Amino acid sequence: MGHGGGQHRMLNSRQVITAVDIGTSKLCVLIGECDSKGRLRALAMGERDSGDAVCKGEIRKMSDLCTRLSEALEDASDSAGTEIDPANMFFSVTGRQIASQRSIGSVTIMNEARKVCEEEIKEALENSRQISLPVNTVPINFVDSEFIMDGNRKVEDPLGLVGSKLEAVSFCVHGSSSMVENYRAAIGECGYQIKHKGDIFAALASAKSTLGAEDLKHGTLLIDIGAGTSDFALFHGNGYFDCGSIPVGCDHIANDMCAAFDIHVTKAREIIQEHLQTDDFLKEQFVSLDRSGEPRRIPSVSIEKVVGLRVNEIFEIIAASLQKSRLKQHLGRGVVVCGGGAKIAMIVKGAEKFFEATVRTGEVREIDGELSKLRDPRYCCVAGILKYGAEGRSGGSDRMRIISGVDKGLWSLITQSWGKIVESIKI
Amino acid sequence: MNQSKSETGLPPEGIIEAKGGIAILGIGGAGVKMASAILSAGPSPRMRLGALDFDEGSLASYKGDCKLSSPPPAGTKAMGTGGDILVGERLAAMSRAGIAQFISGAAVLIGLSGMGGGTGTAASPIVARVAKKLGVPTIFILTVPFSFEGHKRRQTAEKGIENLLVDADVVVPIDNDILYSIMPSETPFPEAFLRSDAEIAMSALCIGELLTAESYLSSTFPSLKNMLGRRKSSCSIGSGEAEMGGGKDFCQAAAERLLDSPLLGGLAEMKKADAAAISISGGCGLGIGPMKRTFETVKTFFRDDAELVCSVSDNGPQGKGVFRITVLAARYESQKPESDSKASGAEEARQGGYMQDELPLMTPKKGIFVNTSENFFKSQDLDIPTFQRKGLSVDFGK
Repeated sequence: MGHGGGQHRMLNSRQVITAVDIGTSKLCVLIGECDSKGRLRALAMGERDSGDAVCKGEIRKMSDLCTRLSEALEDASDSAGTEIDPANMFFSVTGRQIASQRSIGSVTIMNEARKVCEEEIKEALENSRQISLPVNTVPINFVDSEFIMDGNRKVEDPLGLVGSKLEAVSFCVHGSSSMVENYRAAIGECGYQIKHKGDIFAALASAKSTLGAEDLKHGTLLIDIGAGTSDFALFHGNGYFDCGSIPVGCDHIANDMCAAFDIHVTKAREIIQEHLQTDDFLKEQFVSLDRSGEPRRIPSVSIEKVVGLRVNEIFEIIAASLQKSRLKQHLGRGVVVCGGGAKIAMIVKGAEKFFEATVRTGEVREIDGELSKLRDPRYCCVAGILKYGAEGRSGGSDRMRIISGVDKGLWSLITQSWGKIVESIKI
Repeated sequence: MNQSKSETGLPPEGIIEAKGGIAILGIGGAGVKMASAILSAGPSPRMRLGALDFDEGSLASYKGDCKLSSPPPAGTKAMGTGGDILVGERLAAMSRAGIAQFISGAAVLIGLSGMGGGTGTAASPIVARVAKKLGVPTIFILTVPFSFEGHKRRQTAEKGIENLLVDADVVVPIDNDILYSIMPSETPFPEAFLRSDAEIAMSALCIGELLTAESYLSSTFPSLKNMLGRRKSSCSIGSGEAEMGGGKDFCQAAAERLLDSPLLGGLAEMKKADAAAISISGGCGLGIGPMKRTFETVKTFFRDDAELVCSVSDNGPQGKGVFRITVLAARYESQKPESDSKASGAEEARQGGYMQDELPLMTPKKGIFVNTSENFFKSQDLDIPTFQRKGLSVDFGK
């Protein structure tokens, strides 16, 4: 199992990470391992249909979900040939109450030379985690943004700079505590009690797997359009960040078509799978549905109209949530669309028209392994959860900007892991 | 929009073949009276008149040949429906065969009836359905009850019109209030009623000719259908005539008479119209100068943003030397307020061709999101399809 020798076996098992994505159309488990050089390799994936256990991103049938999830977990662990360790499990969360709030932690520089050292940075970041949230709201992730020296100078890496006060700007992505706990409980019911924090907002996970440093620096809007929800996150190197989730997804597109053409939802989903992946269906006048007896013909322009209206509405709501006025200036690298919705041509084209920026489909980066499924945008989220788990489990910190000077060598990895284990024991 | 005769001399598309003739059917008490008025005005040979009623007395007063009714139970007299819609529906259903026989072969059916009572309100939709099955285009000219006749009658009339809109191609509702307001209040009532019947008869004749005369500039029937067949409207019809030749400016004269035309209500009413169909006929000798002038003049009677459909025709053998402008002006019912937009959206979707009955168990339009948590954003329920919340109709396909 794994590489290296006996002396690493104990550590190897800690480096096998399990990512769980509970979605409206599918439940997905991805097992991967992080090697000594810090490269991530995907080992196996287990997947099950969600049925109607999850609707619009919310869990509606716990026992049904747990049955399916257990099967997916078993599949994955069998294929990977390892046991799943709940201490290394991470999962995604979503829900309409997710929002982000800016929080600043400051520290006065006390040492004689008035130089910023590691401790000061650490303390500033710790302080930025102190945030007062409404009742029943818990922080999910922190997205560290930038540092401010002496109250007015923005810096990226303050290590070694001289000043009297250091502030760390961080954005807290928070959501309803019961919503988060629901996911944890579902995984718990399958037999894996996740005691560490382990959660990540779905859009952040997708961003982690698809966006590179340039995207984060010049400004990118990431939209993960799933079956039940559309999650989005806007990044910009000048320190701006915003995110949210809308409980409207591809299922709504299917439902709209059901209502318009009086067809069953499975037929509508078929139409989406077969015809809406490209724009070709518009070349024909009708889309034919096979049926016993006379085939049913639906005018393509009607489909275009119904789907187009819904897709546009999704973008409008996203733009409204993001304060449309500020949106344009933060889209240097355009829009990235992930999730099942990215495969629908009308969504990608619609985004181009609506946001007036380049739009690309998200592709998983920097994960090795022969899992061809990872090329499908539907798995951007679960791949991102894996990456998140691999990069650090420090109580929810997630530095979403260019990280420079972090040593990814083996020893730092060991010392980091040990440090966190000690920390988690403290908690 | 430009229609021109092709090389082979075939008529342009959209012209209703005049061969079949125009069938005019008066439905219900009011309708029969209107049909009588046409009879006395002298219909053209291409027209076929009929009367459908279940009241013996009313049918007896109709002097024409073709009377349709359903035979009363043995030993009783046909006493009409007495304002009961269900009775009217039942009786009309029984007379379907007779109606079908009357309509078949006609190029277009003009139905005349008064809404609000039993026979007219109930039988008109059935007549429309029969005509639709036979493939005959239909126009219904209806009168809507006076305000003083009460709220219930008005409501019944409105429901009848909505039912009719489903199957009929063009629906022209005329408000009785307007109809009678054009006459001075001292007019003795028998005369007033006769005159209003005559007005409507005149309008029916005008429309009949509008449709069957060969028309240029646009195909009238589809345009009318598009204007009036989709949503509820209140309409008025009027015409103005003038002798051609003789050196006088006949365009101006006809336009002035148009303004005087009682049902149109004059300039004030015309300015309120949302759409209008303007048709002029002046024989083959009508010059393009007068034609252009006439259209420009009539255009100024309407609002800048009103939808106008213009057509010009040559009268053919009748009406030589007579220049006539016929106008049909329509005002659309204003959109229902936001809270009802869901319902009206569904209504419009229905009128667009989606006619399947709804199973009572199905919560309309939420589909798979029935019984899920609510999804409100800015006071709109996101689970309801977007096109319905915006009230847009979608072509259903087959």
